[in-house]
Amino acid sequence: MRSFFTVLRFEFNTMVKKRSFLVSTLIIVLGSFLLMSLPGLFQGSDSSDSQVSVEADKLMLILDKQKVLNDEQLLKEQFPDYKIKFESEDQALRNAIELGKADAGFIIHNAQSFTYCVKNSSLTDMTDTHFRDVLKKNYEQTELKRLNYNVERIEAIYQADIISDTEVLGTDGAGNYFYTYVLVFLLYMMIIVYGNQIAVGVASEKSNRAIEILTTSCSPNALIFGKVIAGALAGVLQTAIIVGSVLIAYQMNADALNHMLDPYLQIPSGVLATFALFGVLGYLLFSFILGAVGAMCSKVEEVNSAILPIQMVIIVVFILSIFVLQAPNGTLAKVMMYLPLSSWMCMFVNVAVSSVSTIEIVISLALLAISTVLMGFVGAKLYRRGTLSYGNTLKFSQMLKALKHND
Amino acid sequence: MKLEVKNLHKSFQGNEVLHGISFSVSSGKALGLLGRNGAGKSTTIRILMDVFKANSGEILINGKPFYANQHNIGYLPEERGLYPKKKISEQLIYLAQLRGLSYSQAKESLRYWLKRLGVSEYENRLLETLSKGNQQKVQLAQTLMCNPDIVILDEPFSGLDPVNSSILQEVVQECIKEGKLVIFSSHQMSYVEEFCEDIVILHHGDVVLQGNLRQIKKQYGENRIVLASGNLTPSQFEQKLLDDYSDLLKIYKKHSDMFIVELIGETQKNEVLSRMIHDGIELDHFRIYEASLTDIFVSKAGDEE
Repeated sequence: MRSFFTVLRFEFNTMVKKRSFLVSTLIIVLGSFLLMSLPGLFQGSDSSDSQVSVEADKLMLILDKQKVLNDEQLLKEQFPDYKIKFESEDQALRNAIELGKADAGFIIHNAQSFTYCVKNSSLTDMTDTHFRDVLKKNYEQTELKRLNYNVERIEAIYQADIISDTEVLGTDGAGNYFYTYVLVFLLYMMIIVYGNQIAVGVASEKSNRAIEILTTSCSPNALIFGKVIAGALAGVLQTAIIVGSVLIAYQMNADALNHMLDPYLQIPSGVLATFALFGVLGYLLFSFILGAVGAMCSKVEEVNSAILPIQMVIIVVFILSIFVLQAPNGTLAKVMMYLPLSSWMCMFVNVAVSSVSTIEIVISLALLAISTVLMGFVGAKLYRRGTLSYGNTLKFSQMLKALKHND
Repeated sequence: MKLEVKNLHKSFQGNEVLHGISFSVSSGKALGLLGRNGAGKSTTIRILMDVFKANSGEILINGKPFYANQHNIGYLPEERGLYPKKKISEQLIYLAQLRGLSYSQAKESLRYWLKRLGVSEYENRLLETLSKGNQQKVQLAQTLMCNPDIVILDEPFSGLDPVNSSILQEVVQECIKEGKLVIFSSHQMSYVEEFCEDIVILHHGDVVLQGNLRQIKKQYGENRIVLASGNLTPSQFEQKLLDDYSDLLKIYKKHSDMFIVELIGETQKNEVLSRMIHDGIELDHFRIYEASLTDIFVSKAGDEE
């Protein structure tokens, strides 16, 4: 046990002191603060814009020969930052726009047709769309009046609100969807990124020949468990720092973000507990598998191709989990929540978006826990076997043989 | 403490590399494990260290089964390697802690050995920044840091320059004096001759020669004598030996004017000497031949290829 903690401490320190670990953590933390602060920064500039709009320093020219616009107030409401001036000549309007004396010009042909004149168009310019709304409303009011309808009453009918409320008696699948998706993605990224680092770490010990010293200094179980759990802890630490910084950045900018994420941060404790239990076990399961695969490689460069099949399994499980998220009560979901290779992600998804009984959770958790521990010992055996094969990457058949024989 | 290896067999994928080898070594002595490349030296050492499992045979310590993890062993593997991108102090303390030392003990031992081997200034340097020779010394420090009772060195002199080799020789001599049990494999016979009391020569997975080095050398020289004539030219002397002495001896080797001859059957040295005096041959040299370890090694393991 002492050896295990010695390995754990050494490997953990090695991982968290790596420049790549420190730099990536710092960049992501700073990035998340910046990202969360952006709406606030934009809002700041928007408010200054609105102050300018009160001053209404932009000029809009309108040519309305047929006197289509009956309600000038509509225009003022829609374009509060524009001074509105009616022009009588087509060419004069165009000249003013061309010379930059006016910012926007509209030539109204009839109640349902107009031309927008602007010096330079841009993708973000919404002036013509807003003008279309004005003209449409103007047309509706004119026509309703012509037909002797009460315009205010009709508008009130169309704008009537229906108030509704939903009472969830089981699981709030819709409400849980967003954060479940985020947590599934987080778990997937953790296993892909940190699992790869664990495999590389094990393979590098073999390529730098330290492995023979290590396996003759302490048990392979202590080594593989110490390494994998250290890698897992480093991954959890970095993820916690990143998620924590995102949450802090959000809290600091919550007003600017209109508290838009508040509903998604109310994660039920049951879902969080399932995520923690299944996530950690699944993370360890794949870390052991990837660590063992790393031990089978003789060079670090071989790791990426060697772990590809395992990564494919992780990707397939991730994709299927997204299906489960959308159809949590299907047969696929029922099967996947028991298989140890998929239950780590699917059971948590099922708990979040549908109703799962406690006994189902316990059975699935037990299967996953047993598989993880077994994989730990199998990984240790393969790791031990891997130490003996310098120069050659072991094939899958040799790996299976290694489990039977003591070389 | 006596370590005994009895009838070890080992195969890799049906290919038998050790054919039942046996030898023994005691504390305060060094055993030289010799053999050509692929003879089975490193495999034997790895079985001792429990890196490999033997197919059959046994290893005993003081008559009881030997398990490497129950003993304080300093092991320098053939495949040298530590962490190139880690500080020397960090990794050596880690490895010493894995072998049971506390942090403070490991640090103290680290400082002693780095100083002893002349690399103390590199304590906080990354391993990869050191020369190959200094990396070897760091590896040796790692081997000896836990004050082991058994020291197993696989090709310890490979890659070392003469200065560093002499430092290593001193360290090995010290280990022997301190009563440690030392086993080492090497191709460099001069080192083996210097501090090994016993040798084992492996050839194609068999022990072809083993025992006390002095006795082996004596046995090899027992029926051989070195002759040089003072009044005959080397060619005349050679012709004389071939023509007149073929019933007593045959020429084994010739080095300029010196002839190493092998006595035939029950021929006695005095018999050769008296006949030569009788024949009027003046002898500048007449002495018992002492075989070098290289000669012995070549004669036992230098057959084909």
